[in-house]
Amino acid sequence: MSETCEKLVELAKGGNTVAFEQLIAIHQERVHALAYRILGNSDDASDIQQETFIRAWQSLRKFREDAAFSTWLHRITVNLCLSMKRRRDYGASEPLVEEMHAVVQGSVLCLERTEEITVLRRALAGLPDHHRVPLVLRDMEDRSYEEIAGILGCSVESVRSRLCRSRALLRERMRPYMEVR
Amino acid sequence: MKRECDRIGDAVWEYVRFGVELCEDDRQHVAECQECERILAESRRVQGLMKEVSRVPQASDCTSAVMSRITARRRPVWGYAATAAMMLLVIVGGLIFLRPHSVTQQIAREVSKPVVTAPAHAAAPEVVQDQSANRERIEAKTARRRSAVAAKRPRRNRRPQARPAPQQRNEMENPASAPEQIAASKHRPVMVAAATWSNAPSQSSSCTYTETNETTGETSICKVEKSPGTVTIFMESKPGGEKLPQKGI
Repeated sequence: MSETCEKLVELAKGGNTVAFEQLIAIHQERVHALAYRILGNSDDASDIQQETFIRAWQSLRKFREDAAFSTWLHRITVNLCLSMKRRRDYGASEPLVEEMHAVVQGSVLCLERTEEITVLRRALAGLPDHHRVPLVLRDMEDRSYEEIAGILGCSVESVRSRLCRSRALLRERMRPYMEVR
Repeated sequence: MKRECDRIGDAVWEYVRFGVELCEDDRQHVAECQECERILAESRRVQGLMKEVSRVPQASDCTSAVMSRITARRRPVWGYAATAAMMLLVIVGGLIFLRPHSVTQQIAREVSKPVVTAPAHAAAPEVVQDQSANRERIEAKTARRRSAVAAKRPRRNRRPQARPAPQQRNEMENPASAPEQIAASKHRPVMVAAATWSNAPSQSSSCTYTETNETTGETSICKVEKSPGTVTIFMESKPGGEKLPQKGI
């Protein structure tokens, strides 16, 4: 945790809303990105983003600073995302269609590439939560194994084994499509 | 071999994604194994796609929304605190207000119960609660006499008659000289009487407690008779100047 962030957390713990406002400004993009990558929906990611900071403010005094503030914040984000997914019973296709349109409209990728991306999104969305979340954190968010273990509240070895399994599953699901190509 | 390929597959993924070098053995295995070669190709392709998938739309600034929600939630805390304090005040006030009544009721309930204290070495005495015919007759008579006396004397002289005679009081206050003690309470606090005697508990015994009001001359008599296993209490009040009966108190 950077020194500035530590000071801001200390001030925010004492009820300083200005300090907390600065913490939001520092972390909000990463929180939104993580929520979006887990949920695959921009509106839901924005809701989770706000809720994460509200929860963080409410339980800031419980933050013991044995982990980085960002790790603690992202743990809240992951938990909120997973509970939202359970509550709403996310379908795999619903966000994917939305994303496909976004990709087609927002880039100059050819249709073939767009199809591949859609297949990958579907394959990712089809992974169980306990396999997908480590994959998102490692391969999309570039987190270290230790950070992932801190966010998920498990051991580094558990993260390694989950990642190995999720990568194998992803390759397996993408294989038929790639063989055709 | 398949297990080894799975292990190396993860290392290959890390190599493609983060540039983590493979060890010499793994590198040699990948060069010789068709399965691992295919894994390497798949990993490259999937990770190329994952860069696209990882793109995130621009997040909107949520600072003002979060801060407004935080401040909106903070305000009512004082309201809740004030409400809780008021409720606590009402509850405590109610308890304080009700407490004397409940204590009075409890005392009245306790007083109305006959209580007998017996020495540890004796069997628990049975209280004859109601010598009803005898007692009611005596009480009715006492009440009539009291009201007659009260009508005659000035109001300021009326006061409860609870002080025992000096000799009796000495007996009550000195437990060493009275190894056995019986305390009995009737349904009115003014009728409380206490007596001591020194006989052996297995034998029949009795004692009389007498009090005379010096102003009115009224005499109150309490007689406690104890036979093995039974305690009987008689009470009577005589107006001033009347001679006490010798028997049947």
